[in-house]
Amino acid sequence: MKENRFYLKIYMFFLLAFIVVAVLFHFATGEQLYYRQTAAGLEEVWTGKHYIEIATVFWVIFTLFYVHSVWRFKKGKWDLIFTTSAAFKKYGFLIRQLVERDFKVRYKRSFLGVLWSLLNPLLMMTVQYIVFSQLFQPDIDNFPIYMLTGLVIFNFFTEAVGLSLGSIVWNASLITKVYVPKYMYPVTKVLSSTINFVLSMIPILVGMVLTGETFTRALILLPYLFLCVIVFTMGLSMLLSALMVFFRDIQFLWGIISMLWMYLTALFYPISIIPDNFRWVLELNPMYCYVSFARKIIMDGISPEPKTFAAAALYAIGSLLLGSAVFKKLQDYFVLNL
Amino acid sequence: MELKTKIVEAQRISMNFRLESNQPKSLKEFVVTALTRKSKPVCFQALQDISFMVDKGEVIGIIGRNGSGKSTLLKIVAGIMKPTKGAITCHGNIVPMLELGSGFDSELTGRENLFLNGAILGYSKKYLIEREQDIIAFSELGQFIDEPLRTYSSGMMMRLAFSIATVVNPEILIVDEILAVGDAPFQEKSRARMLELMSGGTTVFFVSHSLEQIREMCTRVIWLEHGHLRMIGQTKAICDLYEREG
Repeated sequence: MKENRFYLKIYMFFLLAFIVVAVLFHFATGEQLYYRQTAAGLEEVWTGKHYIEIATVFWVIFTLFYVHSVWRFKKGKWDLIFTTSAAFKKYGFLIRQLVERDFKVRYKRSFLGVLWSLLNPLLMMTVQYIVFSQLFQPDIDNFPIYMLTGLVIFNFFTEAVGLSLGSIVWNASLITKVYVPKYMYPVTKVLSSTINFVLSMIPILVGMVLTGETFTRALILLPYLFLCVIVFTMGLSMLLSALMVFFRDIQFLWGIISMLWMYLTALFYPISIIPDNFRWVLELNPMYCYVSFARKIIMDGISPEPKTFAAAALYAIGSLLLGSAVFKKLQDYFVLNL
Repeated sequence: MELKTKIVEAQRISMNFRLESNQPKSLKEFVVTALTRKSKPVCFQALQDISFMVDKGEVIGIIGRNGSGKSTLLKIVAGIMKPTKGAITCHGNIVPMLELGSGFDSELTGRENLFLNGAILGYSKKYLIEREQDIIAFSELGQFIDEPLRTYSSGMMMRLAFSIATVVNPEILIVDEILAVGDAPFQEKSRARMLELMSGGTTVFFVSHSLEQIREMCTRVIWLEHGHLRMIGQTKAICDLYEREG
């Protein structure tokens, strides 16, 4: 009975968190949940009217999932909520140590240290601003911020994937000598890039002030975007780091692919220069979805359309499911190929 | 009242390695072999059909010639490798001492490496903070503990690594040769620490080429030959036989 009360307590905690998030979300999205701007004028969107119903459906699904998890956990089987949080408790110290190591080593012998996390995007922005402002300035208002939001998100993505790509291969001496859950290696790499990602939001905020952008309630949605981007990156990182063990060619391919991907994400140019028949490339590109999401809340100061939220979450979850499934399947064979 | 409990159970484990020479190394090779299907991979059987059970507190010696599968067996017990066939269950936390100083980073200080290496070996934060002073004292590093590792001599590094690895009291300890590092006095000290660890009621898997040490330490011995379990049983009987066969 005491045990059941424990599960109920956690359930209530989740409920409370859910209500807070749902209310905040409703507040932050505001009008965009109800109306959509089209060529013909404002159009009603069904999500706003049915917000309570949607939230309820979410909660019912979560409840079923929670009950299922409790049931599995009690039987000692793997489940998403309890086993995972137990693992994080057990390996939290290790994760922290590994992330701290990455962070310390990165700036250890540099004079400016952590400041580079802020300076890097700023300097990069300056260089690219000088180059590209000559090309596209007239088409985009507030070009520096337009570019910076895209750059920061995309840099996080390429840096994190690039680092975790070799996390299994380059830690071969550890993996063959000590047992540590192997997902630890790509996950810690993504987490250490996340610190940089969060820090590089500061230049964006500074830039917003300097260029006279207004701070709106839509900015509350940033954590949602961050979460989606990080989860998406984590999925891809796991996938590629696992495949890398078997095909070392991936490290060379990734250099090319990330460059191509960058040009397909419309970081420096207005999307209007893309012919209509190629627009689908952008629409199917998860990174473009995230970048335009960020631009919407930072530059336009309004929330994106409901379907953008769904797309952002779906890309993230899809990537994570694929990545972790492949990783799980291959991880037992890593040690034989290192 | 102490019940004899099975702490490690190995059931018919086999381990196959695909030989490097016919493994696809790149995407191109992979596609080519997948399309042509010319040859079935040739496997090397490192272990075949090994079963044993180990009770809590036993010290198990593993002997055999080079290439008989001793290290593979240790890695399987440690959970680093998964056997191709069969199953192994271990109850309790395992500290593998297959290599000292796993994950050391030369840019970090000795103290930072102490925590990093400790975390990799699976110690908790609380435990490490409690034992931090002991570890530093045992390593005899003194003030150098806050210097970056890249300034250490190899002896200093090994002393630190040894001190971190042996501060624990694990339920299962896996030892590949008794490690004696550093200069003569430290070697003596580290040997004593190893023996103390191994006789402290933990379950130990111990690989050594020194039959003397095996006779001294072990309660039972596993004899491997070409990946087969040649014999398992009392230390004296097996060691005598092993010596006679040379």
